[in-house]
Amino acid sequence: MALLEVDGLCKSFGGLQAVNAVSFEVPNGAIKAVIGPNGAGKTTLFNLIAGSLPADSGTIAFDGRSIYGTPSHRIADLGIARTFQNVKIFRQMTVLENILVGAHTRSRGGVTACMLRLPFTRSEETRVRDRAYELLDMLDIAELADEDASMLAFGQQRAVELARALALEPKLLLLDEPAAGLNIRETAGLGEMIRSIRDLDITVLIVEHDMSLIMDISDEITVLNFGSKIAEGPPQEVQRDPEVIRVYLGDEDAES
Amino acid sequence: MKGKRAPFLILAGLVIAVQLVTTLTGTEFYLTQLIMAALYSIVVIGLCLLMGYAGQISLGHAGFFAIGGYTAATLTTLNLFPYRATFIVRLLEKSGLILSDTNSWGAEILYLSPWLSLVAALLISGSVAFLIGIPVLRLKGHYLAMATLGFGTIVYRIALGSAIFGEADGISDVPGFPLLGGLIIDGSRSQRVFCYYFVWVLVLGLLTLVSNLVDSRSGRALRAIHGNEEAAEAMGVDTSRLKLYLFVLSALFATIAGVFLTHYNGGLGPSEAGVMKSVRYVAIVAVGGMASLWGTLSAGILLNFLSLRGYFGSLDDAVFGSVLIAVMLFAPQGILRHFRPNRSAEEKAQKKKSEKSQPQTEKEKSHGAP
Repeated sequence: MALLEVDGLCKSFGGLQAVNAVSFEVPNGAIKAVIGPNGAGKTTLFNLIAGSLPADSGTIAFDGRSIYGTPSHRIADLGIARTFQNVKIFRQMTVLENILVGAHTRSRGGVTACMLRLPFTRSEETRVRDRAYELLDMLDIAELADEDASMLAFGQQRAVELARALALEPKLLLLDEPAAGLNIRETAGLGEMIRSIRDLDITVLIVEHDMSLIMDISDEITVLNFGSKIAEGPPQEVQRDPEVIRVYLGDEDAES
Repeated sequence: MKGKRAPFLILAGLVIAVQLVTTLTGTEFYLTQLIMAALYSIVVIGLCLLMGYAGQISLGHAGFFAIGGYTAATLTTLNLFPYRATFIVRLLEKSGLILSDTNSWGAEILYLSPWLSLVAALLISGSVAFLIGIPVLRLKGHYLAMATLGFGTIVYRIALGSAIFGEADGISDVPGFPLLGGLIIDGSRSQRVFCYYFVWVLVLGLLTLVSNLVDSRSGRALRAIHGNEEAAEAMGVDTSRLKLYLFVLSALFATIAGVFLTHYNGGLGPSEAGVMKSVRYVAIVAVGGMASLWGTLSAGILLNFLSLRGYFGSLDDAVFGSVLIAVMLFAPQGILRHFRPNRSAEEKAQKKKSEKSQPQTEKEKSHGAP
C-alpha cells in the first residue's frame, strides 16, 4: 500500500481550474517528484495535501486513512511535514527555537504544565533540544543556533526550514521548490541531503522546477500541466515522453 | 538558569528595600500607589503575553478588569440579611461563605464572602472571554483591534447605564478581602504594608508562571503564531485553540487585578471599563518593548505610579496617548531595548561559553598532560 494516495483531486479558484482530477500515489520510502511549468498547479496540489487549502472534491489518504478536510495542524500530527516555496520562518525567534517548534507534535507540555514547569516538561525539553542540536549538525548550521532566524541569508533560512520540518519526525516530507534561489553547488548539496533524508525512512514528495535535481534524485515523476496530470513514470521514461517534451520544450510560452 | 532567576531576586530585593525606606522615612503613603500600580501591572503582564508574544492585540482588556471589579463589588455589597431564612443563605452561612458586618446605622448586614465572588468573577470573565474570543480571534491586526475595542465599549456602556452597577457613580462601600489570619486587603492604614507585600508576591508569582511559559514548548508555539501563523499550523500547532486559551488566560489576569483593586479601593466606577484604560494598557506593553515581560512590568509600575500620584494632572490620558505615538514613531521595539543594545550579543557569548566549556576543559587537560 502506498503511503499517500491522491485520487481525483480537484480545486478551482473562481473560473480557474488549478487542480483538475489529479490522481497519483507516493510509495513508502520513495522520492517522488511533481513537476510542471509555472502555473501548473503544483503548489496548490501541495497545499491541498497539507491541509492549508480545502479541496473541492476527490480523496486523499495518508497511511491508509483519509485526511481529506483534516485541518493542517492535525495532518502535521499524523506525520506530514512541509516546507514552503517562499520560506516561512518564525520571525523574532532564534534558529534553535524555530527548530524546537518543529518538535511541537513530538512533545506534550500544554500551557498550564509549562507555566508550572512540571517535571515531565523539563525532561521533554532536554530531549527535544538534544534532537534539535543533532538536526542543526546534520544540516551544518549549528553555529547559527542562537541567531535570529529572520536575519539569515535565504539559503540558510531554507536549511532552517528543512531542519524544522525534520524535527517533526515525519513519515512524509513535502518539499515545495527547495532549490529555488539556490546556486548550482547548493543545489547539488540539497540533492545529497534529500537522499540522506530518505535514508532516515522518510518518504519525500518534492515539487520542483530544477530538472537536473529532479532527474538525479527522484524514483518517480508526475508531470502536471494546467492542473491536469499529463505523464507519470521513472525519470528516463518521463524525459522521453513526447507530451512532456512538448510542454517543456516545444511550447514557446512554457518555461524550459 | 541562574541568569533567569537574577531579575526575580533583584525585584524582590527592591520591593523589600522600598518598604523599609518608606517606613523608616515616614513616607509610607507612597506604598498606596505602588500597591495599585502593581495590581494594574498584572493586567499588562497578561496583555504582554497575548499581544507582545502571540501578536494578538486587544483593546478590550479594561473590559475584563471591569468584569472582575464589578462582579466582586456587586456580589459583596448585596445585603443578604433579608434572605437569611432561605435555604441557600443558611447553607452558605454554615459553610462560612457568608460574612456579617454592621452598617453605618448599626444594623446587621450579611454579605457574600469575597472568596466566593472572586471565583464567580473568574468564571464569568473567563466565560465571556471564551465566548467573545471564538469569533473575534479569527480576525487579524486592525480588525482584531476594532472588534476588541467594540467589546470594551459594550462593557463600558453596560457599567455606565445599569442601575445595579451604580451608573456613573459606580459601586462604593465594597468590603475588604479577608485573607488568612485577620489580614485583609483593603485601604486601611494598618493593612498597608501587608497589602503591599501581598500584591507583590502575587505579581512575582504570576510573572514566574508567564516567564516559565515563554521559554517552553507552548510558549514557543504562541510566539510562532506571531512569527508566521501558517507555518505554525503546518508544524502542528492548533493556532485557533492556543489563541483562545491565551485570550482567556490574559482576561483572567485582568480579572484578578480588577477584583483585588476593587477590594483595596473599596469600590470602582465605570471609568475603569473605559476605552482609554484599554489604550493605556496597550501603550504600556508597547513602551515595555512588546515581547518583554520585564520591560512591560517596569513601564507599568513607573507610568501607573506617576499617573496615580497625579503627576500628569488632568492631562493623564493625553500623556498615555502621546507615549503611544512617540513609541510607535521613534522606538517601535520599545524604549527599554535601547538601554541594553548588547543583550543578544551577551547572551550569545554566554551560551557559547557554556557549550564550549566541556571540550575546552578536555583540551586543557590534554594540554596539561604532555
